[in-house]
Amino acid sequence: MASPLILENLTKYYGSVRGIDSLDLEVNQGEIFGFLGPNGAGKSTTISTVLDFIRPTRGTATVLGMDSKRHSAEIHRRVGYLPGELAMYEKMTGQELLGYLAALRGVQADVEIASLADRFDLDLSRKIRTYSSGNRQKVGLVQAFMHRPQLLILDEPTNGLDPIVQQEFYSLLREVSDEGRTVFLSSHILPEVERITDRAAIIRRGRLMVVAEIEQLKQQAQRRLELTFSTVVDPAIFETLETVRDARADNGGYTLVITVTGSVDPVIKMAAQYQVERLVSHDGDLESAFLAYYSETDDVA
Amino acid sequence: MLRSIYGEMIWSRRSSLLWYVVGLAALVGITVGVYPTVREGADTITRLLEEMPQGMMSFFGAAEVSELLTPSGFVNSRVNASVGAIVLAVFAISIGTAAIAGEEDRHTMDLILATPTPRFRIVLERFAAMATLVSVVAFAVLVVMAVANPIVDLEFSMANMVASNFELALLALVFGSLAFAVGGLTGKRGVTIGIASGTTVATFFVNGLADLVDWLQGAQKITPFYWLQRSDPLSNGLSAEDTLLMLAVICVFLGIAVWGFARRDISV
Repeated sequence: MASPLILENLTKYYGSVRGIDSLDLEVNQGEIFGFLGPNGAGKSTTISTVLDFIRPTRGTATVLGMDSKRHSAEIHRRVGYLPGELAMYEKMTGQELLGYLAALRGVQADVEIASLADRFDLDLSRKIRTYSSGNRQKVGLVQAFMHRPQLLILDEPTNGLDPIVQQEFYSLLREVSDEGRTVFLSSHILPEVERITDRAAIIRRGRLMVVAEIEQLKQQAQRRLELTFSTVVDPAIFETLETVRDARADNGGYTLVITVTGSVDPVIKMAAQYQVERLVSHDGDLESAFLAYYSETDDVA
Repeated sequence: MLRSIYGEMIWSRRSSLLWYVVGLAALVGITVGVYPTVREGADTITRLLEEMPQGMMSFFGAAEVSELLTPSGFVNSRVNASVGAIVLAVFAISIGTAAIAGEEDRHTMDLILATPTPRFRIVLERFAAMATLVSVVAFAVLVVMAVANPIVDLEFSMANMVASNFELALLALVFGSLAFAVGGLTGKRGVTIGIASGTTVATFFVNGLADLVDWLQGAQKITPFYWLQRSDPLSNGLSAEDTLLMLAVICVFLGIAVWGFARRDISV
């Protein structure tokens, strides 16, 4: 079976403004693929092009073996999509909206809708406009999953979800993947992608920076550790460690801010020789986590 | 109702439909209801109106004072060639705008586009919904007129009343389909409302002022208000020529909407 999603030289310019540029990507069947990048990097543009909401300037997207432009209706039948900026019909109830979208798909999805709503603890009898952002996101997820699509394209799926529902969502993704269905998930949150995807691509300023196994990316990811000691510690001793890119003193020398690429283990072992008062790890921010990576590879336009 | 794009459009407009039905039915009811008074005071009113400039008369949809006081002249001046037509056109424009540009403006279009519905079908189903909604209002107007007709001795034939309301609906759909065309081409709500309602108002005034302002007379010929006015279906029955003309314009606008919406990037 062909790859469920293949991008070849996919390019979209808005006039002279670059949306995405020459994306080449192949997603394997049954995998959970992460599409990682800061806001405005071109993630939603890529998804909109794949789903034929917008047309590429150059290149092609092949979805489930079909050309994105010529076979968009058939592609839509077999794909589930969660919009990044989720807007819905405010006057409908959750049930009405989901029933309507199921009718447009020509599927009878009442059972699936009820079971998904139950899993996400979502009350479908209320009007959309009364929903919290978390509940809206749940409705969005239900409509993406309800017709049991072969490929799920999810744009920032955990936006607004509380941690318990996030867990439920992650386990749903694993089930989908175990059934051989494929998930293409965009996110700007590194730990999320680290945790649930098998492989990921990193996009920045419309260009694909890297496509790699998550393990590999983890090693390249940059973290910032803030270590506060009970005594003044010389940052230079940390700079000798292989995974440390930078170490500087703060707070009159009591706090060291250490930038690490890959494993933090040597840093922790070194720090353990002193009395550590406080340890803070900043690794949630993709932008800073991959800054080093980008600055090495980005041919700035 | 929420089983199709057509049904959803009707569903989402159900309360405004009610208000337009009530409003236009009231306008027609009151117009027809005061007609006996007008008829009795015809002499006085004629003297008064003869003082008015000719252009004002044509603004009321009549060429002569005597014409204004006939049943059809009176109803035309109050409903078919003026307020009623404008109100129905506004209704059509509001639906035509919401159908494409409004949906993109609210960022809900991607939910629909992500279903296996071809783009042309979204346009056609929503156009059919607009035609249905406008027809319902026009039909309500017809019912009020048909009921009032024998009570106040208007002496309209049923065929003429049907023809008149049919052409009234077509006139509104001309402007509604213009909103479809602009929305299909641009996807911009403000532009769509501006062009469609601006065209409605402009053509209304061009038609009304043409008798007064010579250089407008050429332009008058291409205003839908003029087509409706010259054929006066309430007196003369259905005008095949003007009906076909309006249908042709609607088809062209609808074609532009389908083409424009299918070819461009959609804002989601």
